[in-house]
Amino acid sequence: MNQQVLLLNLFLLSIITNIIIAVYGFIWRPNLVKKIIALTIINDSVCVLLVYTGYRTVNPVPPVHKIPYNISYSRELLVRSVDPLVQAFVLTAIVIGLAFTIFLSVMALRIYELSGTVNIHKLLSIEVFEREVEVVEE
Amino acid sequence: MVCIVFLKVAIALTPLIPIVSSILIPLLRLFTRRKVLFNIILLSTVFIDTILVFYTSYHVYFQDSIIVYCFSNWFPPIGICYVVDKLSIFMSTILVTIYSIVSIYTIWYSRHIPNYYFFYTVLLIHLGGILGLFYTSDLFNIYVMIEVIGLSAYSLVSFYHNKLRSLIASTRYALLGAFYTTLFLLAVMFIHISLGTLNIADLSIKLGFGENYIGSCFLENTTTLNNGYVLMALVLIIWTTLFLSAVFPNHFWLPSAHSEAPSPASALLSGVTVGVGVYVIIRLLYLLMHSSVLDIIVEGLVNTLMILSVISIFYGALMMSVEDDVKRILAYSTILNIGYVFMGLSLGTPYGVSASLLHFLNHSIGKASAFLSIGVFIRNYRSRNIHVLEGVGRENVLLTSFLTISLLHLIGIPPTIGFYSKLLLFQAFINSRAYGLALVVVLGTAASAYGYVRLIEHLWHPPIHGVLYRVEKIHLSTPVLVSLLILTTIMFTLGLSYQWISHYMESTGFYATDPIMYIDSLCSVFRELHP
Repeated sequence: MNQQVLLLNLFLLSIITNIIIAVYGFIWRPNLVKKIIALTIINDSVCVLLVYTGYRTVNPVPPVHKIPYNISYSRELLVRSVDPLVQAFVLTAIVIGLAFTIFLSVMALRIYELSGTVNIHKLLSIEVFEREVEVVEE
Repeated sequence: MVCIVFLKVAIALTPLIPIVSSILIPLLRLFTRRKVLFNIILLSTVFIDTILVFYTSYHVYFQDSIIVYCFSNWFPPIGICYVVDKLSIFMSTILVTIYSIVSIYTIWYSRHIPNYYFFYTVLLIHLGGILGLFYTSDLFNIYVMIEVIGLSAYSLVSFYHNKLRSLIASTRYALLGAFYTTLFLLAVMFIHISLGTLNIADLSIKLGFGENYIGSCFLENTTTLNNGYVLMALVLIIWTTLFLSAVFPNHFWLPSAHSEAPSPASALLSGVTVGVGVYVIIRLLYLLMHSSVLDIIVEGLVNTLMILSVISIFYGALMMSVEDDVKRILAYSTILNIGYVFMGLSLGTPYGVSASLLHFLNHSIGKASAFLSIGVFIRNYRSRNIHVLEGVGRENVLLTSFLTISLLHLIGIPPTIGFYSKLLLFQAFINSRAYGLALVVVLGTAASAYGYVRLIEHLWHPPIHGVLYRVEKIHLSTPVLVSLLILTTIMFTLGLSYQWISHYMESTGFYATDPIMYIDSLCSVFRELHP
């Protein structure tokens, strides 16, 4: 039992470290593609964290609203089952993360086609320059 | 009885109809290229939604009822329910009104863009997402709807995909949006592990609010309450909300995003989409924070909110008078007005909330009108620079007068409704003895007036140092004229009939700060459906 708790804590620690490193990458890396990768890592780590909170040692009793007749069966259910709700959340969150990743990748590709760079600092300087010079459009 | 059933079906269908027709448009595009057909689909979808929302709002306001629809008849904390009360119907009435006017304008605007059907699709998805967020009573559903709104908003911003600037603006908005919504997911997780439920009314009861009035309701708690987690969740939710509404530290995506979008999309994003954050924060602030568990922390959070909104008012007013891009001027004015709305919210009294809701209504009407009329100038003279547009207003007197009226409305000049919301805000601060904040309302208005007047002044006067050339007069097409006339009429009508609407505004404010009825309606549904 002690080993299990230790392992779970190590697992939690590694997820949190993962999130911190990914946030660092998201904020400090100037490359747009690396930013997108870091964002994916953050999203997936949060998903894993969510699954972790549904595990029965962390969140002991799953929401059971109708106890079946058979008492031994229901006791078995309460002891062995995990919270199914968080898994549904995670499925939804993964799908949304996929949509975001696709959208951002298309944007990065299009930006690269137009300007030849995905470096944030260069892009921002181009943007400022265009705002001063260019008139037209819409 | 039939009426109630029809109402329930109506609120369940309202967010669904735009989503269905947004799927229909690209499919139809495979078979036909007749633009009239797509116009009809867009207009009919938005108008059907408008009729449904107005029908619901008639019942909610005049018969004082709350309409609850639970999907598949699952009882509240487990199933997902749509709950329509005064607050959500107020916000969605503003939404559909602005949407129907902007979609009339879009008929004109889409003549100039080749892939208009894509624009229509994204507009309808956006409408469905916001309506779903206003109706739902489930926190995870709110998260999903924020993502739907977000993705469609980023697509609207990057609509001109040959312009590097709009791509950069959209990418910045999308990167931040993805990050902040992940934080919202984290907040949902914290609430789920410490309270074991995600239904907003249930959360409120689990946090110890309303037990004296309602008694025990919903299911027993299976988890242990952890105050630290709940506080963490509240902070994360408020931080996400500040991003959605562009209040001071999270405002920096807004000017570029709202100015690079096509003009109708700017009107919608600037007028209505920022209201998503306002809605979420009113809902959660007064439903979750009135609980005994979190009483001490609330004070600090609310004060922080107040300081941030004051900073964003002055920041918006300052940047408005510096900026040269006409659309960016209006975008900074959005930051300013949302600052006012949040200032009223964080006061915590019903008067403050009703004043800030009225101010949000004024902001969305005025900002939509301003963006739509400036969009015609930009479309015709091919520029957004204030110095290039100098003197063009003199040739188009009608259009300039529409723009001027909307800007005066945003400043708050009496015959329009814009005056009354600032008056109400001022009165609310005076009533709760916050004289410094009342001064902020006046000073912010004075500082922003320069920015608005500067825009008009540049449009009206011919350039001093340039060559004086006569520009071609713009032919105003019927959709543009109709949409701008409707918006201007709304401004004056509401302003002149303020005596009659003030009662409804006050009741909305009182209702929003006192969530007992909201919880009670869900409880009665629970007792009805629970086996």
